[in-house]
Amino acid sequence: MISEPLWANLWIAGFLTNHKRLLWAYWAFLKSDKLTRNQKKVLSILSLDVLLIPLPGAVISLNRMLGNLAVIEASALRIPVVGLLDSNVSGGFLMYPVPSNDDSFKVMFFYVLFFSKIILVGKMTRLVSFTNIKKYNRSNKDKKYMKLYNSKFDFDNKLFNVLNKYRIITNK
Amino acid sequence: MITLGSSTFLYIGFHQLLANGMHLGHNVRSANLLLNKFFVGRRFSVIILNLLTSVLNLRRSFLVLFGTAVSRGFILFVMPV
Repeated sequence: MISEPLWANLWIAGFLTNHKRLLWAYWAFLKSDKLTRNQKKVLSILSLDVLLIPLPGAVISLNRMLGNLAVIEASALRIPVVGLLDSNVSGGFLMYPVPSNDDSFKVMFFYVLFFSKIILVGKMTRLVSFTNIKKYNRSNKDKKYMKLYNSKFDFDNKLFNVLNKYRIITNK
Repeated sequence: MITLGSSTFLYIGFHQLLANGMHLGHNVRSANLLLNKFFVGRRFSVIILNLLTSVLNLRRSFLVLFGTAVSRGFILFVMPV
């Protein structure tokens, strides 16, 4: 729903600090003739596609111990890092620490839910504040979110029509 | 507590954190002394966290994420493997 990138793999050293060089290497690797079509397809599905996005505006690390390199690289580039701080880890390199437990899945779900909610609210406010901008100034990303925003209102009508069609509810 | 858009949609407070079991820390032996400011005290060698400061820090982090989302920046989630 919020369409933000997620790194759920072993961290590649230099992903943030050496981003441009890694991107070129990946691009050359995909374009090389030695790979078969299926290999390219498999590679494109892999999480290395995260390289194709520009540098992030903020980083959220859900575990300081395991996401160690990510936090250090982000802090080197002055990218704001939001992270959960458990009582057994040091608080270095975190710009915005949130002292809490970070071991259980329940806690992680709790925080990811709230972080995603605030990101959604930010995107919605952007939409509302930028509706008066002329059409040619809108980016494709804005248009996508506007479509999503409008589809929320269409959904009720569509559901009502479907339910009516199959006689689940009756329109009296 | 947070009044951005709808306040009921994004309510985070002391009680939410308590209900999710975030008031207890690690054993005293494995605790990092740099985090003393977040601790309230200890009961049976288990550290108890200060939830009020954690709520304040959460709100600070929310404002940062809100700002980056408004200014159309990517936000990278890093999950533990």
